Amino acid sequence: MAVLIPLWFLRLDTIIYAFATIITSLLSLYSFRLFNITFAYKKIHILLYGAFSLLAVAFFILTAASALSYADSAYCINCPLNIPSQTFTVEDFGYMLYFFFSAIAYILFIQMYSKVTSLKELGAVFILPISMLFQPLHFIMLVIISFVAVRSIQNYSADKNEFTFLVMSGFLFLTLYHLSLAFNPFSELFYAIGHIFLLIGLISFLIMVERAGRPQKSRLKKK
Amino acid sequence: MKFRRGRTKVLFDMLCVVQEANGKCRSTQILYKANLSHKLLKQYLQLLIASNFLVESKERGIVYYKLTEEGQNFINEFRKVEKLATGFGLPI
Repeated sequence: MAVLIPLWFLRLDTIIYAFATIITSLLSLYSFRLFNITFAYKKIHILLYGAFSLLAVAFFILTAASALSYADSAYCINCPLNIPSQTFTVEDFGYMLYFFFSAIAYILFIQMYSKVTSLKELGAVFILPISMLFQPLHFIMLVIISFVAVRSIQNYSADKNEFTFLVMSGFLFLTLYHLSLAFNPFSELFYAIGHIFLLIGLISFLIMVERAGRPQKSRLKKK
Repeated sequence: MKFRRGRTKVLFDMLCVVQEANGKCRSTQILYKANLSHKLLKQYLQLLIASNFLVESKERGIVYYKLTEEGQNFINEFRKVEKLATGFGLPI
């Protein structure tokens, strides 16, 4: 898979993917605790757990694929730069797996939200203008994650608090990450910008997890 | 988004009532402060005792409900995951 990467950004993406693996694993753990505590074992909670677990797997595969491609390039002495290789490598397989797992994770998020709301918004989001000018896989991911982002904005407008804000911010920056990478064929700068968006989104989720873990006083009404 | 209070949330509210009464209170206190019907109170008290979150004790003919360590752990855990559920706009 050919992507344009600024030279100064080389290897930084692998570190960001590793960070993403840790954050999504943490969110997966918290989601499992949420599912585990409910006496009714609600299906929506298992969907949240499943989505974050798959996203953690996806980012782990991406970290490995990215690290492997840098390791391979270190042994490459006479490789021509700026000429995309046509060979389908193990790294390419890793990238395909990443797209596969993260697409399923995003679909699980959509399914989760469709259980608490109607799917009317989905029609507006699933207008897929196919264009091979873009990175097609990131474009597809962008279309899927847009629904989740729209739903998190609705959540925030319905219930304005720091947690809904942080989740909204996390999903919005994840959407911007895919949007920037979809435009990567036009400029290598989009690659770096996209990864910075991903990092901000992950930090939002991390702050949310950290604040959720803080002790809180009872909010029960006194009579 | 506002949702109806789910079963887990009702159980959490009941345990909070006991906790705020210094870990020991009567069933009428739970009924009033947790906004429950008598039928639901009986049903949920049985569930909390079976889950070992509350223990029943009799003192001078009056039945009291005491919060156990498991019950306290449930309250702490619930407070953490409730924020996560709120963040994602999910009912609990």
